[in-house]
Amino acid sequence: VALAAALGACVGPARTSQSYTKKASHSVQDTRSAVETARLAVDAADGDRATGPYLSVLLGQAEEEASSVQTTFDSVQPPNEASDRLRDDVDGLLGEAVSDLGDLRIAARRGDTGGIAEKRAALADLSRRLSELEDRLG
Amino acid sequence: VKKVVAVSLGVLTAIGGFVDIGDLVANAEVGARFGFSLAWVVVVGVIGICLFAEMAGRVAAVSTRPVFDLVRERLGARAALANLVASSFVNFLTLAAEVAGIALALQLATSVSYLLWIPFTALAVWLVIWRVRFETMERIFGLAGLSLVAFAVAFWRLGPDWGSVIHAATHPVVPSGEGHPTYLFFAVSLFGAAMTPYEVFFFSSGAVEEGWTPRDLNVNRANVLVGFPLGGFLSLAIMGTTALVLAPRHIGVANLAQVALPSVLALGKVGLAFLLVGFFAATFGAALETSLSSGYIISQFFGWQWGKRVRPVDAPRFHAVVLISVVLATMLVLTSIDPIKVTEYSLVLSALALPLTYFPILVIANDPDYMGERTNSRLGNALASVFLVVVLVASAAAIPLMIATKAGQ
Repeated sequence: VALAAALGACVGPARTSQSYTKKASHSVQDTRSAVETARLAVDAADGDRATGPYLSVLLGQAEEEASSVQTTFDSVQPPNEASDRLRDDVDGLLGEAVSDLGDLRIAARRGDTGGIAEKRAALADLSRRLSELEDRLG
Repeated sequence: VKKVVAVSLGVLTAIGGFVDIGDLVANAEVGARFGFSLAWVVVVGVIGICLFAEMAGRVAAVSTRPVFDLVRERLGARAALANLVASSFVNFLTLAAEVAGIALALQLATSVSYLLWIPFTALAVWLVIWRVRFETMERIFGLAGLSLVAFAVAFWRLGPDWGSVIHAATHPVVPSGEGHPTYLFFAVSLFGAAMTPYEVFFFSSGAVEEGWTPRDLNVNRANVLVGFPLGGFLSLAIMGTTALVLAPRHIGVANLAQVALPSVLALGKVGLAFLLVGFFAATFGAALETSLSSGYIISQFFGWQWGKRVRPVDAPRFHAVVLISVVLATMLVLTSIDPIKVTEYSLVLSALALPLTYFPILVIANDPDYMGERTNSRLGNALASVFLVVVLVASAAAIPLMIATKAGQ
């Protein structure tokens, strides 16, 4: 179990631009998953199809997931200057996702369905940009 | 009504064994990542567990002794000890995950952190084992677990293209972006989940607790043929909802809230209420099964007095093992280790331990000294032999695949 946990948790160093780009791509993919989860949560909240506690937990976990992805990505050492630029691009978008998901979690815990619905357009735009970046990274 | 009640052991075993916290997340994760392309594993797993659970129940009914007791007697202490160590470890991890699973279900209902619920859930598990009658326990949790049928209703409400679903399930391909090793890793995990050893230990010991005799062989068959296919059906329904809603959006499943999300969108708050009851009952049922299984196999190995029906004063070591299992499992999850990860790894380790459980069952079910004229048929043996090969392959591949794929990443 310890071995398996270590396998799951470890973040290997990025020795080349290629491996760094691959890690960036995975991070963007995982963050997009959290953002898409939040978009479905907004749909559920908008149609009054889910309870407050459920939405609060769902959005809190989406935020945690995105935050964990960002922390893990930030801990990887970029191998060269070209990778520094990639780091800035990816980190900016991941940070935006964490911030938006945090806003949603706060709105959900306050029972502010209007505040949740307001984020619909922002999340759609964020998801589109994450998808474009993911395509660019390959 | 009597007939419905008669199959409650099978329903509880299947609900707890097939749709426990690990299966809930694993089936949802597989649906979201692989669509319907791994549905065949659930079908194979259902056939395998039906085959071996029927044998285990028949052995218990004919010999009026549980399987593990006979394994030690027939194959010797050394073989039984290997089985005991492997099964106890898998049981322990699964119990830890189930205790956390109950707390996660309560967290979804209340938004209070699952860590705060864990001590109360552990206490409740122990109190039920201590105070509630075996039949009452299996009826309450087995039947309440049926509210997970909401997954099937949600799948239907989501309006799948049935032709595409059947085609995808019967013509499995590895989706683009996923490697063959990852596909096989999840296949082994699902197979391990379907055939988890504690299911047969609980089922056969439960049969002895219920006092089955050769006259109950039809009840055994009914339990097996209703309970396990029902569990498999629910597993496929969970897989189906995430395949329809989450897969097109590239959402990976990492928690219980996401498992419920497609059904919530399809059925609203009523559906969510059914799912929360189902999550609670299934994980609670599985926690009861795993903790009792720990007590059963350890007591049966050492030849101690055992049984939930037996008063603690008459079977102190059995009840102590159950209590210690619950306490240790609770301590593990209170470390804030990710319960979903614990259960995912327990599925892989379960696959690794499968031959140690199923080979002895096949040997005993063919021994006329125990079974008289009720030994396996030729067809049963042929099928079981094929399954033993599958079990051996899954067992041998489990750890290499886990390392090669970084546990399915």
